[in-house]
Amino acid sequence: MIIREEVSFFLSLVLSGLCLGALYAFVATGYSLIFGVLRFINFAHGEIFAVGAYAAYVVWRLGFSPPVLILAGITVSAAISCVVERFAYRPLSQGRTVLLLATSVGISVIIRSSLAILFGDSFVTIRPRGETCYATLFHLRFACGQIYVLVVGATLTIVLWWLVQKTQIGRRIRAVASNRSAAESLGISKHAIHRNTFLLGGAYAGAAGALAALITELTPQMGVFLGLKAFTAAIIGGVGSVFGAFAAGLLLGVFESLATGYFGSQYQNTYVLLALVMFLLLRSRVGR
Amino acid sequence: MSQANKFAAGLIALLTLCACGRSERTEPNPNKPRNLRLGAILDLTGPAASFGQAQLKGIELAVAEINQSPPCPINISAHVEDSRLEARRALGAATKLVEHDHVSAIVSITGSSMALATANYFNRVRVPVIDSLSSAPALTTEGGDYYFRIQPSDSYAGTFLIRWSLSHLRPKKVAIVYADSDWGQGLRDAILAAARESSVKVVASEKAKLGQIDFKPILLRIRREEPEVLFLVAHPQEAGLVLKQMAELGYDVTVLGSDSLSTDEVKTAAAGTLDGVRFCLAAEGSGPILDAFERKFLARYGEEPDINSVKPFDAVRIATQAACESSTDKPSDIRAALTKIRNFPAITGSVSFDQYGDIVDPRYECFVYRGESAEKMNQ
Repeated sequence: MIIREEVSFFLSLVLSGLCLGALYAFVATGYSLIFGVLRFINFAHGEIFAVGAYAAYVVWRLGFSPPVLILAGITVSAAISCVVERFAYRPLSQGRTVLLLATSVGISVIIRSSLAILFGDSFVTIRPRGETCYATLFHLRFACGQIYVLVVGATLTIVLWWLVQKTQIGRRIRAVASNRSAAESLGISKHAIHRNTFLLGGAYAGAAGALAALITELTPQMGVFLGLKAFTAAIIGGVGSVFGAFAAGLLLGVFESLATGYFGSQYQNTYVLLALVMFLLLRSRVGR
Repeated sequence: MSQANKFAAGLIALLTLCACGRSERTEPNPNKPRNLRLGAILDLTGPAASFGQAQLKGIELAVAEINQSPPCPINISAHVEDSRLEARRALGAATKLVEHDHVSAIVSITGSSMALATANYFNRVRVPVIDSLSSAPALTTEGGDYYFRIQPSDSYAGTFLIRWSLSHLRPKKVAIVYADSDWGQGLRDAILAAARESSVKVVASEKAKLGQIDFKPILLRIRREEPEVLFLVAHPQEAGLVLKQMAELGYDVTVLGSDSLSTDEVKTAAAGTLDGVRFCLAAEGSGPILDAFERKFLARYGEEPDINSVKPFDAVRIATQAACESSTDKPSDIRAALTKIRNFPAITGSVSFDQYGDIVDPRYECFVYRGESAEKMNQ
């Protein structure tokens, strides 16, 4: 009986951590993709996640169901991400990286303020009134939002693997990330790769935003909080390594959930930073 | 008379005229109403905007009413700044209100952290604050001589919550989920202290961070400890999410919270999961004085007032009363008058301040949600 309760407790924490980790993973993927190609950290990427969440909110207000919400999040975030790349980053792509960094900070403030102007500073929620939707499997209770996150998350993970590994776009992105000048000498268009990278990164951040909207409240600042954790995951996974960042995002979510469940919430962020330091130390030792 | 002498004589005559004119203008006119400038630092667009907007309505209504029938020849105006619940902005707002708007008193601040951030400044420039929302116990000592509040301290609220739960729910084990802010930590400390005194075991005390998405690990941890009562003293966004995720986990425990559980934001965020949730807050008042306020509020805003509108309304009336009694608009004189106020007939009950500026003998009321609406409970 006690063992069953302990196992159930452990699995519930893992389930909760996987849902959170999936959100970190999708946003971390975008950080990693963009760094791999443009060699800078896009600090506005967390806000692209928030845009996806608000796009889902707008579509929900129009009366559509969760699958449409997720599609809306993906589409709008991918589009905004491309617009930002075309008009803010591309003109500076030949300049120093610090210019791109400063621009990304500015873009993040602009997007956050725009969301605040459009939707207000207070939180909004898309969950239907009075609904407590869940399913039970092996004594574990899955909320409907969690089921969406897990099912859609797993599907999008397979799609991501296929896109990066099996398509021409993915091969070209990997080629530019691996050796930019060699890729250019082979005739790969730099601008097209940049656009596709932002499109893919934005789409995954948008998917994460729409999924987050199904399980939590939306505020214009939501991208800051989640973006920081996703950024940590991108560093742990190795910035530039798409699947490393993805796996690190998932692990970070599970680690955070287990640590909070077993040791309490007092030092929740400390656990995340501890994971970061441990990983960096471990990697430097292995690398030696 | 030479040209120079003529010029000097003319100048002297002109200066004399100016001086006469000036002395006439500064002569106090007992029939002319004095202008009393009151300030407020509210969160109008930040995470506690629901509180700030409610406070603003209370202040505006009080100003309109007092200007219509002033208790003494006085004309009041309110200068409101938006802090967005950021200490840096609150301090900037405080400086603007004092140095640019020349306010004589502050009648409301949204958030204990904002009150703590500005308390030193208001003491230094000697401008009294009559706070209507901040409840952090630290303000009792750190608020200084110029800080008064009609919102009871959390040390009182924490003791009340424990005592009320003991007399109505009789728990032996309790858990706390508290906001990661001065307000939340103050209330947690007060609950912990009161629980210790009452020999109630606190089996878990967990933090709810601003913007946190997932509270399930915290809730699973608390459920394992099997508390009989869960004290939920988090901000509306997080409190709503906690209640929703409790329902998703199928975790059923008696929830007792503070004023944040009475807000519309919680009703929206936790819709469908509020039934049976209890909360206690400083009394809104009763009787004809409250009825009259509610009528006026409804006529002006087309909605029912909540407690966060009532107290700023009272704060403006108390500041006006102090200004009337002090006969000047000097902030230090208003402060002196505030210390002498005894049993002021506020909507929320009679108001007197103790030596620390805290309200004496505050009243509390507890409510329970039946469906989506809150019903008052027997005290």
